[in-house]
Amino acid sequence: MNTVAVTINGRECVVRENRSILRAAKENGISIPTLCYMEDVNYIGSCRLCMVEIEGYDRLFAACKTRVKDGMVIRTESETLTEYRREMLRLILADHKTDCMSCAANGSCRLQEICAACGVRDTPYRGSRGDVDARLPAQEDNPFIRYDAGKCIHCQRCVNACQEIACSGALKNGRTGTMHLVDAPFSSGWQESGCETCGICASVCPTGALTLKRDRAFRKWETEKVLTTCPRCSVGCQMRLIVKNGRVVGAEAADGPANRGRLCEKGRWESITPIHAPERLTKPLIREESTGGFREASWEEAVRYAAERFTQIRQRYGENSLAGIVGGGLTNEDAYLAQKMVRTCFGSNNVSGCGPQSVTDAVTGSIRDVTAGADVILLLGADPETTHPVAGMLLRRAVMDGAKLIVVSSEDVGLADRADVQLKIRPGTETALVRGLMNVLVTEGLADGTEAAAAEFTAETAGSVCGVDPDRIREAARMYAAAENAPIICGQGTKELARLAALAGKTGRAGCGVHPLCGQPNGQGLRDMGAAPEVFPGGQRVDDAETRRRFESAWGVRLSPKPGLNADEMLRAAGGKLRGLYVCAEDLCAALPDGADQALEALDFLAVQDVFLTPTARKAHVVFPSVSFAEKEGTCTSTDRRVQRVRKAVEPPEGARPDTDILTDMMNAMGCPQPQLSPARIMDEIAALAPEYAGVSHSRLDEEDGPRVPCAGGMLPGTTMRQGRGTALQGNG
Amino acid sequence: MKKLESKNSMNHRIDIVLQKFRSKMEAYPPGMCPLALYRSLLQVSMSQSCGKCVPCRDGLAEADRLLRSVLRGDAAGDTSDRLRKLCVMIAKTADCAVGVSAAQMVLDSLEKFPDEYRSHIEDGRCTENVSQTVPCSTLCPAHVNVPGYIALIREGDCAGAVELIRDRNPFPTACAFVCEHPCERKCRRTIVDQPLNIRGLKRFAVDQARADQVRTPPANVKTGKRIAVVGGGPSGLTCAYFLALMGHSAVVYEEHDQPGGMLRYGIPAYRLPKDRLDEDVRAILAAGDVEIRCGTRVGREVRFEDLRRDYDAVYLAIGAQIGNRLPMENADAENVVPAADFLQKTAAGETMDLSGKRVVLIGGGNVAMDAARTAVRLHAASVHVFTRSREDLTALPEEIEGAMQEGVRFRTMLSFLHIETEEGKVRAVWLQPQIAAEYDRFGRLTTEHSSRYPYRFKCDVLILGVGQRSDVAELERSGVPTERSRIAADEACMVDGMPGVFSGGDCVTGPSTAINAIAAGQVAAFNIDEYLGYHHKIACRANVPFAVPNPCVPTGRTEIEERDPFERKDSFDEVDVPMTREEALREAGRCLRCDHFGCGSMEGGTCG
Repeated sequence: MNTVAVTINGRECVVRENRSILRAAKENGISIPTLCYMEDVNYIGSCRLCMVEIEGYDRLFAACKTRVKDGMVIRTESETLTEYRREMLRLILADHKTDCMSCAANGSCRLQEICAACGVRDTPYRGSRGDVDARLPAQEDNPFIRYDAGKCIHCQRCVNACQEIACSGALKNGRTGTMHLVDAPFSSGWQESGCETCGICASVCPTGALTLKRDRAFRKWETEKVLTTCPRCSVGCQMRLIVKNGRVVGAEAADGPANRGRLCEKGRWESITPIHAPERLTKPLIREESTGGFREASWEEAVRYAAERFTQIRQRYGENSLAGIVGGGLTNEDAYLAQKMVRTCFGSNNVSGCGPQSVTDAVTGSIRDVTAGADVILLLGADPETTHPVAGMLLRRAVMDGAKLIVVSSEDVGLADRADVQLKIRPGTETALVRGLMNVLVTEGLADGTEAAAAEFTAETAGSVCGVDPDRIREAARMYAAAENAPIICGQGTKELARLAALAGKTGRAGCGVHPLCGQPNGQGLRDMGAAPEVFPGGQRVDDAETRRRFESAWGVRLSPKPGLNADEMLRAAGGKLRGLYVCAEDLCAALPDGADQALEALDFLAVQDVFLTPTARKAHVVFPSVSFAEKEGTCTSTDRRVQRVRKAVEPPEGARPDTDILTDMMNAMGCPQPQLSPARIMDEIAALAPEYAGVSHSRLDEEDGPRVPCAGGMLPGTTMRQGRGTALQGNG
Repeated sequence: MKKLESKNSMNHRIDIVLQKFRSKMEAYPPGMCPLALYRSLLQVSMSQSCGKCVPCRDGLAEADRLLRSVLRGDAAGDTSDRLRKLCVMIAKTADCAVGVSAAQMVLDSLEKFPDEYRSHIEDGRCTENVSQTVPCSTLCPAHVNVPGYIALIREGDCAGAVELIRDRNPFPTACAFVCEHPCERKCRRTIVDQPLNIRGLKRFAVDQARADQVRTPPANVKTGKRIAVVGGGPSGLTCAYFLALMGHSAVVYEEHDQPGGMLRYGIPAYRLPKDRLDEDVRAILAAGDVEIRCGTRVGREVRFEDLRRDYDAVYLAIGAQIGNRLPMENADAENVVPAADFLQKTAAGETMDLSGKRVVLIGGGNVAMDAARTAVRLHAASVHVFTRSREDLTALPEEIEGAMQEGVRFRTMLSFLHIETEEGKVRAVWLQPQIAAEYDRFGRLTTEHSSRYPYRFKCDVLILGVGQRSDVAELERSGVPTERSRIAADEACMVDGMPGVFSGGDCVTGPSTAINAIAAGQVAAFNIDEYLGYHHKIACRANVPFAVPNPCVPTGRTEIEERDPFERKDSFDEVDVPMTREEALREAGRCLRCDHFGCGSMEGGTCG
């Protein structure tokens, strides 16, 4: 790292070569006012507030876009500079609609803040735009975001944030005559604009020009913010819930290790809408045998009733007649207790999530690493722009930064428009395609070793199976093999993909490996917590006697050595071998639409704990009202195995209880003593039993970025990469 | 008392202002709203009004008000009609040219930019493609990152500069020698002093870092797709270069013995030494899977139909190699040669001995200048260039000046009547003196025969620099659509109604510049890739240095000088005297870095 010596306000400073004056000053504790500037995103020198004096030049320079040179003598404060800064603000104000009293940005407006700081109350100028802005079509058809051109100060933060952060380019610069326009895509036809409604533009607007419509509901000073993990997908974005008077009124991006200030439509909007929905359950419900309808019940009665029924069924039909389903949106602590209840109280290993079983032991780096350092990205059977939008943004960023992209999919995938090469395959032919890729690697001498499974799958054969030009299969294989760093990002990890990565030598290094994007928000956590029929917490197999002994001694009961049923198998066994089912926060009717309805009806007893009366809950005999992610403490594990905190922002509606409390009551009622533990204590128990989580604790997570598991040794920063173990990729997917 | 005008008179001082105004107009940035420009021009006209006659004094002000309402988005739907009627009235009634020309200018705007009027009146904004962009990169047809490579030169990284140029244009050397440098036309430096000598800087870069010694980007793995490129000139080779970097196989069919097209067979060696052209060609051929089949003419050795069958796509870049003859008697007499043929033969080594011969050239374009200066080098006793008017001298000023210095004589206002022959050889040409007449509707000066007698000029060799055309007969027979001997292709270089067949360069546009041909090759390569269903990206490893504050002290432009005319006219050795390092660094230091300051740092503010 080369440094240069500069003088700022009479002080000698040694700063990094090519630093902007603004950053150099900041790093030396000198603050220069800015309005349009955003580090690494917007440094176009529009607002001119950061002007500084440089010795030897008559002109002034914008500190945001001027780089330091050795020996530069810079002054950031002077009478002229102060007066000019005020003048800039007066000129800006002249074209800025100042209805601050009713403006959604009041209190969080950067222009307001800086005018106050500089002592600018009003403007003597008339402005040049007149009512040009008023005559432009209103930009408020988008349900979430509106653009009010009259308040726009044309700093272009939104345009560059859309380009550089969301990497979408839906916002553009436009023009009329001599005037700049922001071409915001929020008027009629916004659906076709390519805008993902991520809201990043509004989050960076320094005024009330671009606002989230819901922001009218609160003022910044009325709110507090709670840092948590977004519950909508498995990327693990960090966000802050905005709370006013005990209600969540908004969500904003935080600088998390995966998202770094990004948030998508799901996170910003969908995540919080259920929290205060009027349809929330607040009373336990018991189905009346006589009427077939629900009646409200007390917690004691509902828990006792459910426990009795499960105990009866177990006594009558045996251990394997009971099972539990764990929702992919639950925290690790919830999932841990749920599987513990199934294993200890039900006596079987019939516990499972019901997302496509993600393969856990893939070789993986963090989602940011694999997108930032990749030369070639093989995207296979995944549409992150739709399912994991922030990962989609990261992929678009990678392509903008020069990564080559190969898209393999049977669906139309938006990222295909940016792909160097696209392989649009017939549905269900992914394995054939991967074998085709392996065949090319082997036959062209690009592979470390050979692959028997691929011997017959020449590019021509695979091409005809998949309905793809064989040239493309060869090119994709060559491109993948030739790259230094090339991750596979996929919907579901398979043995074939792991083999492909190994054949091409793309394992065990940063920026390589196989990265399934978990379909469920905490899909990775579920499996890590043992909410899977063949493993205990920490991926330790139930049929391993030594492991079982450890868990038996920890939990104080005898445990079944026999792997249990997964969700699909449970539904098939319902009414036959399987008589009773406990569903934690999962709508099976939506998740497994084929046959869930009938299967659930065939059960002798169904208990559901959920936030809403879902179609699944409607079929239950007992329904427990549980709490949303904003109402509980806990952790979840992102698709790239980073453990992060879920924090309580608001009190649950009266009557609803945390999942862990409900499960604890159930366990006690079924005769397995389980102390009432806080989620933090539950995590301590997990850390003691699951070697991969050794060292994870809520207090640690509160102090640093979530570590990536495995995470042995309390103070280590977690693993950046993991090599597949012996059991690698044995998922039952 | 009579007085002479004082040195410090208002008029003198205004002249200085006007000089600056002129340079501002010259450097009017690309991508501006034409109506905003028209309005400021109208206001200039209003400031020229003496205030006597009503239509000019009051009418123009009303026209300005209407134009203002259009620009502010509050114009009524019939505003263009009202503006038109008003300006027709002013143009018909104003007392002097100030009012008449101002009104005509507004009428002109209504005719030339109806789309922009419509957009402002109906949507309250400019059409979508109006946005200011960096002048040099925008005006370069290939959209080379000009400020970027100048900054690299300034940092002493000439290899980086060559890499950055080649990101868009694989002929850095050839363009360093012969490019018409449209990039310089609106250089923002013009506002301060004069445009940068961009071509001169490029020349410095390729002299320091020879093109074939500078790495090309790593080619993509093979895609298995094969593309036939017909014509190994700048357009065809550019297309092949980018296709090869994308991983495709490009097979170039070249009629001549060597690749290069007009760069080799049209441009004389004293402007572009062939060994320097070879540097570019070597780098192109080594960049990836490019195969060149010289001495192979489509329609003779290989059929167009076979190319369409055997390749995944075809790029036709056959140039415009046939020199036009005049449709007049004796035009095919011995010693009457089209300039293109004359230059091509000279380049191929089949030189004519012109010792003691009087040579006459008809035509004033760059090819005519090349022919004239070549004739000088073949020891002609005299070389005369005749044109109908001074405006017909369309060659670059430096070419005309160079020819003059080397003794080429220019006569204008003479129209060519006929060729006199004796025993089948040209003996003399007859020329009719002209007088200047009106401008036609394209703004070109027309001439009329003067009443003076025609003029007989004795000559031994007549060279016709009257244009070139493409040899499309064979392709036409194969069904390739043409229009006036040009292949019918659109701006995406796609041939009308022939999927997978692309065309660009001189054979589509008619004779034009190397950089236009290169731009077409680049566009075709990327569109062929898209046509085949890919979006291959090509890496560029050059990093543009950060911009540093420029004090903008007015500083003279460094020109490329030519060697002593008396020395240089005796050989085909290169005539340019390239910049010294000292000159190049100073010139590079003049660059205002419009990629960093002004619109260049805005999203969408760079070009291409």
